[in-house]
Amino acid sequence: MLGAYIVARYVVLGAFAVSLLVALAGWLVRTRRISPFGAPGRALRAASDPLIRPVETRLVRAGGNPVHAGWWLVVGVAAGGVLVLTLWNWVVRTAYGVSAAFTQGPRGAIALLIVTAYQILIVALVVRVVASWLGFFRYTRWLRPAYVLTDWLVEPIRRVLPPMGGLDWSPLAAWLALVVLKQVLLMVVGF
Amino acid sequence: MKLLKTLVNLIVATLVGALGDKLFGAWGMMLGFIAGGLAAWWVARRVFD
Repeated sequence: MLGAYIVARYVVLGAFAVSLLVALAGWLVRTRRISPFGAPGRALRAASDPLIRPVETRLVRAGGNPVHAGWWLVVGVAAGGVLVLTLWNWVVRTAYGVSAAFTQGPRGAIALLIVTAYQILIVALVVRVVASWLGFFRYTRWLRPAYVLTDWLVEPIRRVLPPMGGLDWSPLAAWLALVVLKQVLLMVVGF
Repeated sequence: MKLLKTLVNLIVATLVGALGDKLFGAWGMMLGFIAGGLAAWWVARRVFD
């Protein structure tokens, strides 16, 4: 399993290096630092266009500058790579956790449920907060699950803890409340 | 544009920070992160503006 993870890390690193080269090639041609009509320019375009074109289409639709499509590709590959490796890690750790929990009987299984629920709620809170920094709020379709999962805790806290200094502290307070709740529940179970 | 520049800065700073960590440990990571961020910011000004 560890070997496969190391291979995955190298694959992500390789994809990142390729995206960087593609972005550089696209940028050189699109900004006319290399003539797009000469042989080197045509070769660079032929190599970079298949990867840049889909990003460019989306970027133009979103009102962005198509010249920067290559750099968005680099950012997308980096973010996607980190996400894939993080998910991989999480799945492996969860699988080990599940097998360890079930060897300890029902108490272990309940503790695992508590910890898993806590982790899911924390991820939902982080997604909610980071998305709000980027201008996405509760009426964005892909954000609905994060709001549904955390509203029961964040909204009552917000009513007693209004925004101070231009910052909304309720997600931070919700996180602290979740930490305390998790510890109390684990103590009740006997961990 | 601002978001793209910030994200590129963050990626370069993280990569240089990881390199600094491998070479010089925790202080290398911190200095590498700062140096990478500053270098990326300087290059991004010329590339994106």
